[in-house]
Amino acid sequence: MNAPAARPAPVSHLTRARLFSILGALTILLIVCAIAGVLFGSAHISLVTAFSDPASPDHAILFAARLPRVLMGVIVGAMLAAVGTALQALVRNPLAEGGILGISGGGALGAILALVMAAKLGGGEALVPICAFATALLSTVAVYRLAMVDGQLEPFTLLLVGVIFNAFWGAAIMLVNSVVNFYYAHSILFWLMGSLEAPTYGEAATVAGLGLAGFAVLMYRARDLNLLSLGDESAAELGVDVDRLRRTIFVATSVMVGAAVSVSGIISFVGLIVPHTLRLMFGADHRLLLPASLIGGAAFMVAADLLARVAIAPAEIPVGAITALCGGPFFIYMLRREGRRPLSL
Amino acid sequence: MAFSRLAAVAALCIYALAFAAAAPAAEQMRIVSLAPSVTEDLFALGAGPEVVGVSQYCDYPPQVRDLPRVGSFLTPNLEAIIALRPTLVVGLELSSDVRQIRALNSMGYPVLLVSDDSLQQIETSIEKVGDRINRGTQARGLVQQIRMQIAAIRERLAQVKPVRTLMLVGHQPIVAVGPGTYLDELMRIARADNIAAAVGQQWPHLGIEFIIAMRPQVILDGSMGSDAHSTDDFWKKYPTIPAVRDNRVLSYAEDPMLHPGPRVAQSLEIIARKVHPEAWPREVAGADE
Repeated sequence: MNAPAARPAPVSHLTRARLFSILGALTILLIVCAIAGVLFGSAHISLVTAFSDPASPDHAILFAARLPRVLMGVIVGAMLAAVGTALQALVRNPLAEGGILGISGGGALGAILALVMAAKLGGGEALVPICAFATALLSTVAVYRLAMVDGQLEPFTLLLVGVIFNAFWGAAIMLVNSVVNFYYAHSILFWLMGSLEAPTYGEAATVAGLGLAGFAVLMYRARDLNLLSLGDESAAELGVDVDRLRRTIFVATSVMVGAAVSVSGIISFVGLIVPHTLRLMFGADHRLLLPASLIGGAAFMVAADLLARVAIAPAEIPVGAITALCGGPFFIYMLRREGRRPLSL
Repeated sequence: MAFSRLAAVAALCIYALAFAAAAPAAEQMRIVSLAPSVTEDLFALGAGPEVVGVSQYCDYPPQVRDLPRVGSFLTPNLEAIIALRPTLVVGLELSSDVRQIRALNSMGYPVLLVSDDSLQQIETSIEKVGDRINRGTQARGLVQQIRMQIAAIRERLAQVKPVRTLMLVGHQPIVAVGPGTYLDELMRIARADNIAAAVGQQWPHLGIEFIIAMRPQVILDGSMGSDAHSTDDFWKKYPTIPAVRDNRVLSYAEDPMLHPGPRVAQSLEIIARKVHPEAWPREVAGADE
């Protein structure tokens, strides 16, 4: 699994022109996806009516249902993909993504507990995302403490502790599922499969704020993430404080995943497929790969959510099922097309 | 003399006692119910004293709260059922675990499975259970009573105009009552046009824009885990929906609405009163729901 330290990542020479042309192309893709996401849905709307008559259902569908949902798709997809990219570099493991830190599982459990408690105690549903975020961060702290070996954040231990935490939280969710009324089964599945259903602009803004803050940190350390692919020792020789870098990235990605899971549940595969596909296409320079993942993840998520909304309209499919169903085969295709060349990080 | 009289009395007492002890033992069944609606059927048929175990969700009538629990009806606990030495296990056709039913059958415990996806099935279930526990007459009486209650509501609503209605069991995700469910049937009788009728799934997961586009006049929101207040918070984002605009997003309690048993006519009346309060004119002024 672990890329041999001796093999340097193929970092193509990054020119300003290359950076802008790739990011520009991805941005155009995102805009196309977003426009399609706003134009299409289970209901047919007239844009003229939507803009001219604020009391019309067309207006409500466009501005209260589709636009916040597309926005949330952009934000969540961007965050998950960027987090995946950073974590794969951090632990030098191609399987790393938000889920492996045990954060999303913790967040989902918190959301489900809040949902059940709100019913028992009469609290509001507004508590659910707050609880999800709080438990996601609590889970993060626990994983972080347990992954410390001799005062250092050890990547393999982190990976294992994270995976075990996620399995543990999954089991706890199943436990809750079997003791509460079965009418909760839908809500529990909602958090386990992930969904971008019915968000508010306020939620989108909050999550976007946390996401951008986290992303700024990742970008700031992008060059150091490149050096980390040479191995801990080489990176240290080149002046990277490896342990400090790990902690910084860990905290930044945790906040991002916590924010994403608090509104959308566990949406898997985005953090895996998008970074790997882009890495196969454009190489592993994180100064390019991080912003490319951000934009590509957003485009992928908006497209997947559009499919989730229209495939069996007016009924919906959880978007997490779409990301896995469509993303999986596409990723395998990309991987095989590369031929004999092993995955580079 | 005195002694022999005493002996005769004693013998009679013993005989009476023995008879009293033996007689019920001959007929008394030991029934385990795996679903709330089945438990209600059994109690409504007067078989309450013979019910020895119920599912974890059974909460009506109140006396079932003290009965031993044998797990949920999706995952009943085989050992707990066997430990109760049942002479009959009654569960739901659709949600029962085939392997467990097979296991119970192979160990010699008789299992009766019933369905509750429509009014017809609910009635058939009551009759099937009744026949199986020697209360066929009571069962037919109960079904007759339910039919009369439903007919009375039908009659009351004969003149009202149907109202476009959406009935939800949850809004995260938005899960609606779809066609092929007894609730859809109750909505039709209550002259509530189900906007999810064309979706083609029993419990469809709907997108909010479908609801906005279909413009329901009444929304019956039974979302678990939310009080009336948080339901308002959810809906006020979509003020163009007529039901939201006219303050006709109404909540309903899970009990009895989601219990497709002998109180099904009560559920019907709750829907009908919420959707067509004008059909109950005298009570509208005083009663506050």
